[in-house]
Amino acid sequence: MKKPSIKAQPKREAEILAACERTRQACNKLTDEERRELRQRALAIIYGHDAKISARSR
Amino acid sequence: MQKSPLVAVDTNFPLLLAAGDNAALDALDVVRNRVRPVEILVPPTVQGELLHQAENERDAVQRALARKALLQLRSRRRFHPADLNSAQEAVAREAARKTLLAGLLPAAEINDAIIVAESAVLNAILLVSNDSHLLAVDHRRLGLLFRELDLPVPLIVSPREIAQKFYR
Repeated sequence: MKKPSIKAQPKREAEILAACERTRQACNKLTDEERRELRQRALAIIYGHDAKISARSR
Repeated sequence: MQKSPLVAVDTNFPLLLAAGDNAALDALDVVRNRVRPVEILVPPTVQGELLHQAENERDAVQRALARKALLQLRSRRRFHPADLNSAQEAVAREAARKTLLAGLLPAAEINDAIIVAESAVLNAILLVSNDSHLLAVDHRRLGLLFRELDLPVPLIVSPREIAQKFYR
């Protein structure tokens, strides 16, 4: 992604913070089990991507 | 061997970095240069929120940014996705419950409270966040509350504050 110009940054920052607020409001309602499942999938994606990058650089 | 100081990040920070936000990039630069050798942690709830946003956010641009931020956590940023054992999870849950009960955060802000509590359980000295509720927390009262649970209290700072105060 192209780095935004300094002028465009406050607007982009506001959009990001607004999306984070929507996410947080939705996630506040999750059960413990749903939170655990989300975290496990997040970790699988993070480490899966990491392994792909490592394999490519070998 | 001396342990690395630990710094935790809130969900908005990896997103701002992925978007190329100057204040966030400067703040990361400051943290990496001033707190050596630093280990930057992504609390479990933050990992979950990033994925939730990547999958469920209504704005497609933002969904793509969240996915990018998630994928960059380790490969590009060298952040460490933290995990808690069941005992740590229980302490974090109790600390979050007490934080909300004490009125240090609005009662509905469950994830805010959990992220602060997870950062404390992970022994983070700083929590980097742009969240208005988190930045408004009374640090002294939070410290007193966490002391009862034998937990350290991380200093909650915005990327801009880090860059302005320490970028000299």
